[in-house]
Amino acid sequence: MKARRELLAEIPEAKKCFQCSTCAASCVVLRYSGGLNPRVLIMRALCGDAEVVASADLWKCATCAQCDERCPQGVNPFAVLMTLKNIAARKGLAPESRVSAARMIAETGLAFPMSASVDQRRERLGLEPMSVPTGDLTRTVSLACDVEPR
Amino acid sequence: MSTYALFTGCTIRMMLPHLEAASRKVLSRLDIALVDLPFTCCPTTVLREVDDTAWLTMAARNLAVAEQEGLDILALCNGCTQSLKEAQHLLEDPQRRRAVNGKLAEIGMEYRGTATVNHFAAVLYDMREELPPLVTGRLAGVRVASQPGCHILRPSEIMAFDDPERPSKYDELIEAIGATPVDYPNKTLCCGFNLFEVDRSAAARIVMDKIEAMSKAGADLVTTGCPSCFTQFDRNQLIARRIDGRDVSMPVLFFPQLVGLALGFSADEMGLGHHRVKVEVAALADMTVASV
Repeated sequence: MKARRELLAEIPEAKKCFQCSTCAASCVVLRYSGGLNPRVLIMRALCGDAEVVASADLWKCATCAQCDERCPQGVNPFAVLMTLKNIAARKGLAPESRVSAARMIAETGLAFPMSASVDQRRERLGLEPMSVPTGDLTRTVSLACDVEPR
Repeated sequence: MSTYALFTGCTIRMMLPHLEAASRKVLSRLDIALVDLPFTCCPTTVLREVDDTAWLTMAARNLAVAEQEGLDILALCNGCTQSLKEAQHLLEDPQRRRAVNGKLAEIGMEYRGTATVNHFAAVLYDMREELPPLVTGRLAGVRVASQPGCHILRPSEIMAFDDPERPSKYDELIEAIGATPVDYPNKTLCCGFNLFEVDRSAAARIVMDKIEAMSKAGADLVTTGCPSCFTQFDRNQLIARRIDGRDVSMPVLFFPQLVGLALGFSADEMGLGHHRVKVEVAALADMTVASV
């Protein structure tokens, strides 16, 4: 039960879940693609299944937050999944593509790689070139998965 | 005249700068002054899902940048609006605020929670009674479906924009600028953008289901205040149609572009030539678009 205690310490809201499946019924990913089922992921956490953070399904979430909106228990499944992904990242279980995308944002302050063509397009539209203050930013932000031992 | 710090967001400033150019023209015409500040990425859930502390710290820095200038934020993007508002909500917790301010102190900054975050549509909604005398009437008869998008609606207790199940503010705004709002089933359904790289056929079915529903309801076009929804309905629609095979299509206008057309800007001034799905609407026949 150590795994259960550790998981629920980070996602205490999950204890309120009574497995009604409103989240699953509202999930656009489950409806159109399958795989991701917020109710099942929360059940696994409640049962102390430490492997739940290794589930690839977590990373399919479209972040639409419809589950949060409709959950009658205030579990906030969207936020619970977010925390499970954070735990996965700290344990080195996140997909490398997702970690490198996050790392780029933390290091450059931008969601996409900067290139000369971005400023060329902006200039043609009469817009100022991009300017982002990466210097002070990188001193404040570093990824836990890069600095903490796994 | 009101003055805001403009938060364009990375998708708009880097991938869809024609939407930024159009939005700036429209806001200027509406007598809203904009100040550009050194904002980073809002940041997006891409960072939050890997490290929520890093996400919160970066969001707090952006908010503090606006606070230092004594300005409220006007955001063009649903996702940025949600990130910043969720961050404000989480920073109400004194313990979290102390931790984040400890990091910000290293760069001589502090989050105090004094700036408001306002999406373009929310700012316009507050001005809705001033809009009818400003518009030209050229959108008369144009039937417009809205895609508010997930991140402006939910979580509704934080976003506080509209009814999360039966949103109507975009419809009221469409009416205020002289067009005809069109309701359709599943208006609050996600556009599928975030599934596009994960499961392309599912993403295609989602957007084509939405387009089919809008089409059956008689819409000439769809408007959205979200650059991800815009991309899903513009570039991705062409791919979705090939994958899905349904013979329906729907041009999309970023909401500021639609407002701009109503205010009398030309299709070229609103950047319609940059669209992948050409905006060919019979009622808008006077708006000839030069392809770019």
